[in-house]
Amino acid sequence: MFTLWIECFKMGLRELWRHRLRSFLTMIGMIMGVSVVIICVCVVQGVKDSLIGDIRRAGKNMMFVLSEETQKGAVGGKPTGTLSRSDVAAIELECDAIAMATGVHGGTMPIVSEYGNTLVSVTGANQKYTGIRNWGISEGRDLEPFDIVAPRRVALVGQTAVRELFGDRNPINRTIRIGQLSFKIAGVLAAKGVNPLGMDEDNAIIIPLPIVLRDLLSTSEPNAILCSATSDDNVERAVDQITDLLRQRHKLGDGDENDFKVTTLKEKEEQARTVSNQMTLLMFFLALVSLVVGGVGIMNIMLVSVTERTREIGIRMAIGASTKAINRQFLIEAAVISTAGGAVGILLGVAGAIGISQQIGVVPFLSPAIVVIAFVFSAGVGVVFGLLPARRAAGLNPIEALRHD
Amino acid sequence: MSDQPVTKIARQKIVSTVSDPSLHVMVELRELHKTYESGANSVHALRGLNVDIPDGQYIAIMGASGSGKSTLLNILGALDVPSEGSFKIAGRLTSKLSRDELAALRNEYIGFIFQNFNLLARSTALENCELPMVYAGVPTRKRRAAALHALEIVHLADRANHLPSELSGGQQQRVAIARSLVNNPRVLLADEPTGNLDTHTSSEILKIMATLHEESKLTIILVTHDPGVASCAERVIVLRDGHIIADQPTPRRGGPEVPDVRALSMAVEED
Repeated sequence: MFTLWIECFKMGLRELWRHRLRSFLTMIGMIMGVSVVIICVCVVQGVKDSLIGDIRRAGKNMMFVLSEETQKGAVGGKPTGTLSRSDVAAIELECDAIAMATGVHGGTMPIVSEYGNTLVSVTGANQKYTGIRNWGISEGRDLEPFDIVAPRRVALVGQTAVRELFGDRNPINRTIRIGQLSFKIAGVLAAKGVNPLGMDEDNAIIIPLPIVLRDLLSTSEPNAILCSATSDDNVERAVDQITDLLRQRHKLGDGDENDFKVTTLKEKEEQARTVSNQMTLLMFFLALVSLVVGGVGIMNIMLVSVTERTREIGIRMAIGASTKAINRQFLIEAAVISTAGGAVGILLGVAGAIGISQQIGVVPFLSPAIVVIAFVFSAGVGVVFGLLPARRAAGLNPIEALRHD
Repeated sequence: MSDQPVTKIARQKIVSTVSDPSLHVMVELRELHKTYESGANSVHALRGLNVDIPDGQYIAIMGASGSGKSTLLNILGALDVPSEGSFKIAGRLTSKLSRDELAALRNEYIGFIFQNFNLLARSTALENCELPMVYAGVPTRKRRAAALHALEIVHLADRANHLPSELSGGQQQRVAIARSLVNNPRVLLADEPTGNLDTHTSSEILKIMATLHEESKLTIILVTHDPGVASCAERVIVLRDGHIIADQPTPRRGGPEVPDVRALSMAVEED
């Protein structure tokens, strides 16, 4: 009976080829449906991956503790924070889910070198900062503990800042000035690119925190604490540990609100994931609608085809075609239309996804699974919507069909 | 009752349909009735036919329109089943068969030749001839060879790859004959095979059928209203109003003149 399948398939293909234009027009519904789905899924997933990638690149299992007061940022007077350097030491010492921690403080400041000057985001931190931010050193050295303890006036400079201040020259061991102070450049940070907010992360300078606090900002405590959990799974535990520890250290009673806020990248990652998954789900519904529309188009044309070919069906039945054979022939025709439409749709969709992704600067998410699912789905649409016409064909009375003009 | 051909036929004694037991019976009709129910009216198309057709006989069925000829043809072709009585072909009873079993029976036992050829318009002569074998599940290579052989029998091997529209009427009918032969049927059922053809082409087709009968000993049932065509057979059955009114050998087998059913129908209307 395998031969019958092959024959039905051949007959189906031949019939579709004979009505090329009609077959093509019928396929358009499927082509549009499938290609739009593929484009949407690939691009949305690509955007999600790139967002999550950006977030991950911001730091390793990173979380930051902000003082509520500094968040509110009192207008005019100096903002007073609730976090202290001893909080940083305590977090590192007592929270076993935390691998690294550093206090940070800084702001955008004018920087002068012997070749130029520019505004750069200056961050005061300890030697663990690059580790927490997952930020490599491309030239020179990282900050060392003795840079912080001394503290020495050394600086790590980001790629953009280097270009602005030194052009193509090697900046290592050269001097920059921030306000009245001179700093020696110890190392150059690796390129990090643009963060999800669109800010250039490479326009940065990292210097020891004590210098920022004492000499540049005339304050004593950091305004935020950056931490890195020991592992991805430990992020939530780390948040709880920090919260408990800081509440205790800040002597907050049971009814008191936190005077600080712990934020993780995981939350942001989760947000990105949720939004894109919702988008994808929406796309799937749209896709379902367009596939149904495509399927109804196929059903319609197949019904026309059955009526048109009534006599042919009669002849086939007279010379011995079983209902099964007739049924199969029309079912296969419907499936071939939809599958071919699906295949073209996949090609167009993948091409479109690549094109659009390039336009918006993300890497499209292309997986064989999507292609396979789209393919199987489109074949399924043909079978489902071919059932009725095929049944009608197979149910014809051979005597009447033979008499049909 | 002026010219009286009707009475003449009616007076003819109907030959017993129970044939010589020494003959192998290919087609057997017993008390065959066919009634069509259409709403309140029921049409009694066939009213108790008893016919035996021995293996290898060339028989013509004649009848005016409305005589039940088409109904009988559908039953003989296993396209329809009797309402009462039985139809047996090669010993197989059709009454209890399902649609698909009837299809298989047609495929295996019966070769159809139609008045309007009924070839698939978009398939070549060769593909048309292959079609019955497709449904019989014959493998491709064997199928091709058998179809070509059948086309050779009707002298059309050189037109194997032509579409029906590229062939003359006679050639199309020859393709149809080739198609009817490919599954080695027990019975060839020809429905007005020359109805759409000119005299010259008609005789060509009849000659092929005669050859098939003589050389391959095929049982042929020829349905026609043309006495000239019917006289090519060995035996004639004449139907009127669902009854057999004559069952006789043709002149070439020593029988009387084949009645002209066209005149017959006119005479009936005059009644």
